[in-house]
Amino acid sequence: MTTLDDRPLNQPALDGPPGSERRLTVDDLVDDNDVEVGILDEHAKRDLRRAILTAVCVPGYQVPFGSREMPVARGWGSGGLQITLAMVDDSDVVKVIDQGDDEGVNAVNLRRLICSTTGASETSEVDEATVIQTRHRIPEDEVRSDQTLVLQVPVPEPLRGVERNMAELSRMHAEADYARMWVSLYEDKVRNGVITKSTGYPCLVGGRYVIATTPIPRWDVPRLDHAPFLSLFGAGRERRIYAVPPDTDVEPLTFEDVPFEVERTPGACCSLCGATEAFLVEIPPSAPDDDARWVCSDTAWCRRRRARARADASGTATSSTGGGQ
Amino acid sequence: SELEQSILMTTDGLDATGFLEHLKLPHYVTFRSMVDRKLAVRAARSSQSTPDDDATTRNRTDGDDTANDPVPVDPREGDCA
Repeated sequence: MTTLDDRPLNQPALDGPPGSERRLTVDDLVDDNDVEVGILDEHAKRDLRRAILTAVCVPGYQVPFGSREMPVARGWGSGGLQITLAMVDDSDVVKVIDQGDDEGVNAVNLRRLICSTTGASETSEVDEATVIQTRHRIPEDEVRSDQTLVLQVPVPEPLRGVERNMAELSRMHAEADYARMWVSLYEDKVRNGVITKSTGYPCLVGGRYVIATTPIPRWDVPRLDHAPFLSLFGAGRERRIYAVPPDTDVEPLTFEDVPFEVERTPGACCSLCGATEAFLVEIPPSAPDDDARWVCSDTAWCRRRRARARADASGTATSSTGGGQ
Repeated sequence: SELEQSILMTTDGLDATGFLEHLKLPHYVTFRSMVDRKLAVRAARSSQSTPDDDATTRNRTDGDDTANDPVPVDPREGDCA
């Protein structure tokens, strides 16, 4: 434990004229400017906000920032958490999802952490939230222009599979020289017949920088194009922040004669709400002979849909009262 | 010594265990995406004799009848973090 100056702790502090000595206390060492320090102090928030502003001003550029030690380990969403904590105060409403699920362990704990340290309120409805922190999905509901989407990114570098050298990577981004990426996509297409990049599809933002969309499925990539909301991407382990401002061009890298495909399994529908127009995930069969079941990945959306279906059903059942939902 | 301390901080700290531990997080969405790509590759290969426009170039379409085959997931492909 070091003191702010070189004086050992048990020597009295000389604050006034000699004779008015008093003991040095912990209060003298603590910075008085930080009132109600949560996890991030004001300096950390300043660093993060400056990085976020730079990222928003240069869409798709990966801004390095000083990634603090967080209560969640690296690789568990510390970057997204830092962005959220830098932005949120007690007037905000926060929604946290993990692969679309509000009730996953990690989502619940992150939400509890954010809300207890910043005083924000929590919700599971996209409608009510001001900040939505998400891991690997964009909510099916419409996200408005007054809401912010914070995505957790494992690997922010889209050219990671193509180039290893950091200096060469920064040169390629600086000069917009993405030839190696295009060549790798072409080789992929020729070797496999289709482009096999599944999640984290590289996209060109604002016609300038290529970003790695975090492992959101291809299904969600068209949502980013000219979105009304701001998307912030935070990578804590790699110490990078990048952003897609509202109403920005985000086009997936694909060739002119190869249209961008999204995931689709014909005949699959959610076994809980019957939806086919949402992103579904497969529950593997428990017995070898059973069929696989599909469920909506966005649980809040599925729940609302089921509630609405129930309300409609009860509305039509009690037709004597008239005037359903 | 300083070298020992920095090695300990690098290998034992909270920072160090992130990348492997993230495999404990759910991956339903990423897995479905990868499986879909594998099926698309298989569809493209199976329709290689015929022009494969219908199977692969229609947007939001993926048709394959071999859905019962086990799909090996390529560990090199993508980052399922």
